[in-house]
Amino acid sequence: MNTTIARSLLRDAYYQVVDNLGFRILAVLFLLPALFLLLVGFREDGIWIARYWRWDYADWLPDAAAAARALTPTDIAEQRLKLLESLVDVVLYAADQYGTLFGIAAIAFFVPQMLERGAADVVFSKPVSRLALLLSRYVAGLVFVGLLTLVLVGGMFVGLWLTSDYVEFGLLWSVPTLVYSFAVFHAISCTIGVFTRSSIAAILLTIVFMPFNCGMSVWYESHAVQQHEEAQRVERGEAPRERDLTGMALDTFVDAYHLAMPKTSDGMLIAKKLRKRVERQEAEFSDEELGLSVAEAPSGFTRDVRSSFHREGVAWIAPHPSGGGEASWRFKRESVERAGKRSDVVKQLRKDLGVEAKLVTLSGVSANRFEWREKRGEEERLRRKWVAQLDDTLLLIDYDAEAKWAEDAANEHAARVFAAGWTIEAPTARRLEAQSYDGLFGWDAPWRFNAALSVGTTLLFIVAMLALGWWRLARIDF
Amino acid sequence: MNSSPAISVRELSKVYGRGLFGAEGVTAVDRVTLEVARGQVFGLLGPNGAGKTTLVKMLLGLARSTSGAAQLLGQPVGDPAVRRKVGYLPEGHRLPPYLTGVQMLELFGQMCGCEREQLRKRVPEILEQVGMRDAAKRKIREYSKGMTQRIGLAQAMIHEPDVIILDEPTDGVDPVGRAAVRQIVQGLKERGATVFINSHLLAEVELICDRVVIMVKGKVVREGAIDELTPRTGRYRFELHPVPPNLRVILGDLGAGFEAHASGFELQLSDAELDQCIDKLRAAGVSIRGVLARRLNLEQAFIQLVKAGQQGAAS
Repeated sequence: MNTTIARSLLRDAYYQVVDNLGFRILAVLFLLPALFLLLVGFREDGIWIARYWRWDYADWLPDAAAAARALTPTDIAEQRLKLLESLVDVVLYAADQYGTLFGIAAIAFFVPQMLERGAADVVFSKPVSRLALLLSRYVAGLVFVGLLTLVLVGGMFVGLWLTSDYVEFGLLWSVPTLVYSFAVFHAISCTIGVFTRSSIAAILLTIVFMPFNCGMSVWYESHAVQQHEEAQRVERGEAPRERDLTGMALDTFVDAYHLAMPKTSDGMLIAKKLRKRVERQEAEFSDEELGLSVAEAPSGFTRDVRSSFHREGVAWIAPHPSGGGEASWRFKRESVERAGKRSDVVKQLRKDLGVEAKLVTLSGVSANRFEWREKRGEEERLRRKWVAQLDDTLLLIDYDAEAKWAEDAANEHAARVFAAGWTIEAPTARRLEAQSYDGLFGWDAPWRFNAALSVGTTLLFIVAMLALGWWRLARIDF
Repeated sequence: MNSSPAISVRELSKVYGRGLFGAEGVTAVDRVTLEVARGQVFGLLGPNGAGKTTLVKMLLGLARSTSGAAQLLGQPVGDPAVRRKVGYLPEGHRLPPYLTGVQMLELFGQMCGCEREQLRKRVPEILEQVGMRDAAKRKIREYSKGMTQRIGLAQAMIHEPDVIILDEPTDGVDPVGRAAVRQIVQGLKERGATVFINSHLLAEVELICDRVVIMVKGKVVREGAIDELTPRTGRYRFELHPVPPNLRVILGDLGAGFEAHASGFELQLSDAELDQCIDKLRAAGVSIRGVLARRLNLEQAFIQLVKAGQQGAAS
C-alpha cells in the first residue's frame, strides 16, 4: 500500500467519523465538562463563576469544625486540589466507561456496513488489500475516539488552566490511555463485525464482553495481591497456604486469562501513575520515601544547592532588600528514634519558645504550627515552625524572616502560595496503597503487577483480534 | 502494445458450499471459457441465476474460483496491481453515503493510485461526462437512484482504466440517461478501452456490444458477434414507390406469409424466389426503394437459446 492510498483511507476514515451522528452527540457531551471548567474557576481565593461572582471555600466545606478553624493555605490548597482532582477523575472515569460504551455503539457499523452487498463490491474491487481496508475501518474508530478525547481532555486542560489557574500536564496522558482502552474493545467489535456482518451482533457481543472482562480484572487484582502476600509470608519463613486442586486450577485459570486477555482497567491506572509522575517531575522538590512534594520555590527565594533534606534540611534562601539577614525556608527530616516523638518535640518546643502551637493539617497530615518573634541583633525576626510525624520520621519545616519584611502583604502572599504547594501523603494511606494492586502496579514491578507486561500483552491481544478478523475477511466471497 | 486478451477465462468454476461443512455444493459457474479482445465492447447475457455476477466477481477477486484460471490484461485476477487497470460498476452498488460526489471520486481515484493533482483535473471532467457537475458537492445519501447510477459509473472510470466492467449500467437510468451511457461506452471504445457489460436490457446490448456470451445455469451456451447470434429469418421487407394496387397479382404464388403495409410488403422467400420477386416487380414497372432481410432480434435469439439451454440442462 503506497502513501497515496494510505492517505486516502485516512481521509475516508475522517469523513466517516465527522459525518457520524453519534460522534456529534458525543462531541457535544464531551464539550460540556470543558465548558463548565471554563465558566467555573476553582482558584486559590475561592470559587469564581464567569470571573464575576466569588464564594469562599469555607462556605462549601462539609466539615463544620474545619470551617470554623482558621484555614491554612495548605488546607485551602488541599481542598482545592482534591476538588479539582476528583472532578477530573470522575469525568475521565465516566468517559472511559460510558464513552467507550457509546463509542462502540456509534461505530460498530463501520465494518458490517463496508461488508454489505453493493458496498463491498465497490470497495473490495479496488486495488487495495483487504487487510488495509479492515485497518482503515479500525483506524476510523481510533480517529473517532481520539478526536473526542482531545475535545474532552484538551478542553478540560484549557478550562482548568484559564479559569482555575491550575496547570496539570499529566492530565494530557489521559488522551492516549483512553484511546488505548477503546482500541481494545474496538478491535473486538471489528472482528465480530467481520464474522457476523451485523452491527447489532458487534455491539451486543462487545458490550457483553466489557463488564465480563472488568469482572475478571477485579478477580485478578484480588488474586494477584493474595499471591503477593503469600510470597511475602513464605519469604518470612511461614508455611505456605494449602490449596486444593480446584483452587490451584482457578489460580492458573485467572493467571492465564490475565495474560491472554486485554487489561483495560490497567489503562486508567497507568494514566493515574503517569499523571503523578509528571507532577513529581514538575515539582521543585520531592521525596518519594516520605511522600513529600513541594510544587515550586517560594517567590524570590533560591534553593541552596548545598543543603540536604537528610542532614541540615533542604533550604530556600532570599536576601532581604533592606540589607538585613536573609530569609529562609527549610525542610528537614529527623528519625523519631533520634529526636523523639512528635508530642515530645512539641512539648519541648512549647517549653523552650514559650508559645502555644496550633493544630493544623498539612495536606491531610496533622501537624503543630508555632509562630513567634525573636530578636537577632538589631532585627526582629518572624519565625514559624511546623512539626509533623510520618510513621517513624519527623518532618520539620522552618520559616525565618525579618518581621517587617515578612509581614509585607506581597511577601505574606508569596509565603501562602508556597505553602499551598506542599503535598504530603499520609503514611496510613501510603501503607494501604503499597499493599494494594494499584500500589504494587508499576513499570518495574513483578510480572503480576508489571505495567509493561500489561500493555504488551494487551497490544498483542489487539493484533491477534485484528489478525483473526483479517483471516476471516480474506476468505469471504462477496 | 501487449497482445494478450483483455479478459481470458479458462475452465473457470465456482461451487458454493451449502449444508454442514459445505458438503452440498451449488455450482454457480461451470467450467466457463471465454476470451475478450482488447478494445472490444463485450456483453454477458443470461437469465437470473445464470452465474454472470459470480463470473464477474471472480474476475475482480471478490470471489475465489473453485477451479480454472482467469486473467485480466495477461495478469492473474488476484493481483491487486491489475485491479488498478480495471473499473467496476456493480449492480445495486452502495457508495459511501457520508461522502459528497467529489469526495467519493477523489477517494476511489486515490485508491486506484491517482495523485491528487491528477484528480483535480480529472474529477470535473468525469462529472461533466456523466452529467453530475451540479450535484457534485451534495452527499451521496441525497442522490436519486439515477444520480447514484451516474456517479457509480463515474467512479468506475475515474482512473481511466483499460478494462471496465459494468453490471446493469442503465439500471434506474431514464431514457436520456441511457443514451448518455451508450455515448460514454462508445467514447470508452474509441479510447481503446475494453468494456464488459452485464445487462438484462438486450436492446441496449444489441446497440452497444460487438460480441456477446449467453450463459445459462453456469455454462456458456452461445458466444459470438451480434450478427452471428441473430440469424436471418428468411423474410424480406420491400419498400416500393408507388405501391401498386394489384400487388398480389404481380407476385402470383411466389413465397409465403404475405403481409402488406403502407409503403410495401413483407414476404417469406428463398434466395431463388428473392430474385424472381425483384424481376416480377421491375417488369411491372414498380420502383423498389429498399429490400431488408429480416433477422431475429437479440431478445428473440436470447429467449430461444435460454429455452434450449434449460431443456438441455434438464435432460
